[in-house]
Amino acid sequence: MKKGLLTSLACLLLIVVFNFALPRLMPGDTVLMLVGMDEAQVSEAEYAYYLEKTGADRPLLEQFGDYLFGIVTGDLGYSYHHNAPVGRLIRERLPATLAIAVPAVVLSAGIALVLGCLMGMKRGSAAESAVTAVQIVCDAIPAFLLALLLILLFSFRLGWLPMGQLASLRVPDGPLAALGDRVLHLILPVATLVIGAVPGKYLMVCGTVARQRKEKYVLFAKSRGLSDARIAFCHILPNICQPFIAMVGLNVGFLVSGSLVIETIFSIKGMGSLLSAAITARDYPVLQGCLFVSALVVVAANLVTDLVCVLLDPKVRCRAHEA
Amino acid sequence: MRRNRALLVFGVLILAGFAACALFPAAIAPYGPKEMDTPWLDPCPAHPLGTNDLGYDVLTELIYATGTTLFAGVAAALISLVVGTAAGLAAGWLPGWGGALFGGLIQVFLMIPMLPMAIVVASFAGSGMRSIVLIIALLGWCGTARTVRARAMQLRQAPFVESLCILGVPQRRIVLRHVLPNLYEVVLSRYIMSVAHCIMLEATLSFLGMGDPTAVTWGRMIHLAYRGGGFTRGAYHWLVSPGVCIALVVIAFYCVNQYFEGRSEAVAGGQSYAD
Repeated sequence: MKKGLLTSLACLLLIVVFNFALPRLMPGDTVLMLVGMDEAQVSEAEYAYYLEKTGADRPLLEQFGDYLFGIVTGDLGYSYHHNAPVGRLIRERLPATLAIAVPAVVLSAGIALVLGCLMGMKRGSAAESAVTAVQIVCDAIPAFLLALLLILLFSFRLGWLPMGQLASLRVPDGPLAALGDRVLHLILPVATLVIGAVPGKYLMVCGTVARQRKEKYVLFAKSRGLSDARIAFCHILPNICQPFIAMVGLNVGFLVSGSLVIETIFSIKGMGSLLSAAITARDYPVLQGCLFVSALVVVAANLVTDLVCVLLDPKVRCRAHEA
Repeated sequence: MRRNRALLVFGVLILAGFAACALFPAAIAPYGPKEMDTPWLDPCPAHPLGTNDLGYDVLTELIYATGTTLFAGVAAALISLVVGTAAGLAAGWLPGWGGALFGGLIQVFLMIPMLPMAIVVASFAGSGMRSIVLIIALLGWCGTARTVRARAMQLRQAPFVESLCILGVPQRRIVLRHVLPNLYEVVLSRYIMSVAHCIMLEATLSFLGMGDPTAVTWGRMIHLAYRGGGFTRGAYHWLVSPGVCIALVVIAFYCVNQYFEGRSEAVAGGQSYAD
């Protein structure tokens, strides 16, 4: 637990240092790098203004102190392209990203767990081979292509689901209708992420369950006449849930990144579309802010998983107590 | 075992096909890379995959892009393999705080969200092929490092290492001559999958518009097709075929990996793809 906390802090610090150092180390004008502008766009007066704003001519240590203070107080810099603080921009966009990523995390973990347990008990059978093969193929398809294909099938051809965005132009009246509208819009993006995220976890659960199957306690459970499903979920699952939860925690970062990629395709106004607009505009402060916030999300997810592991597993709890 | 052999043949066949495309694009492609025809042609006998918005034959473009795509994946994976093995060995072998330091470093790097990091670095470093490869490599080494670290820690306790120590063989010689060869299986499996991952990451970066504008890869083709209106105009042959190629390569690498994994399972307990 303590070690996890230390790693998380080190990770955040590394990213902060990295964000601070990158525009200042790169060849080219530091001020232009900091504001993300081209030389041709900036007049002399503007340059002087930016120089004063960014303070790029002060000693590095002083700048770093200011930068660190800014991060701690929630100031992620200022985007001159949007003419708004990066912190506010991201705060406006983060909910949409989390609205896709969080259901995707929960659903993919659940599906992988159930499917992995059931198939792990049947390792080597035709059913397991088929499911695993399907998972491998799903894993091999790039997320953005999958998103396009899903839109093509379910929105263009069949017309069942909306093509993008998180709500209809005119949100239906009543909280229940609005919720239904939101869910309908969430199906495709979440499905894209889930299809991409299940295989890794499924393979891991399936492999671990297949290994555990040879343990003596499983043999004993079998000789008591318990069904395969019951053995998998009541006896094997508690033993393998700790590495699984840790894996889900690490996967959160992957899913947030995945959401960044597909948001543009589904025209969802989340962090991803902010990011891809920033890529085209070379809006460095926004890019760095997005990096920091995604790292923050990953670190938070990891701390939560550590905590869940401690709550679930008495072995970890005792070890944590001793340490 | 027979199933694994079949998978190996399947994977190797696909990879051989792509390798041929990569090495001799001019001999295989039906047109030259700069030959233009009517834009927006649908698939027809003359153009099996149609033409794109500039009138280039999509199949030809696909074949010419194979080389750059595979090169990016193989090169990035090779660099990350070397870095990962070195860091993993250091973390697993060095006693005391040295090993702990490297171990901590691996943990920290594992936590960094790859894609946003790659985007930020690429936006500063410029998007030449070389910098893209380096970025992918320097972000992908930690997985290898973790696996190597686990194996190295295992090996340090192994009886044959103990006897080498007793014989008075110097540490450096033990590591280079005896431990490194024993990492072979773990590292090979890691490398094969890491090529697939690197190709995927390169495609994602290219799709987002961070790829090298001068080198056409499959990811960049999808990017151009998506931005160029291939989606809205219904030119799915242009949009989907590079994606299918990416998927095929990844599947092929997985099949090959499966074979080696099955073979090494008896030896080392097998490091699974999922770990």
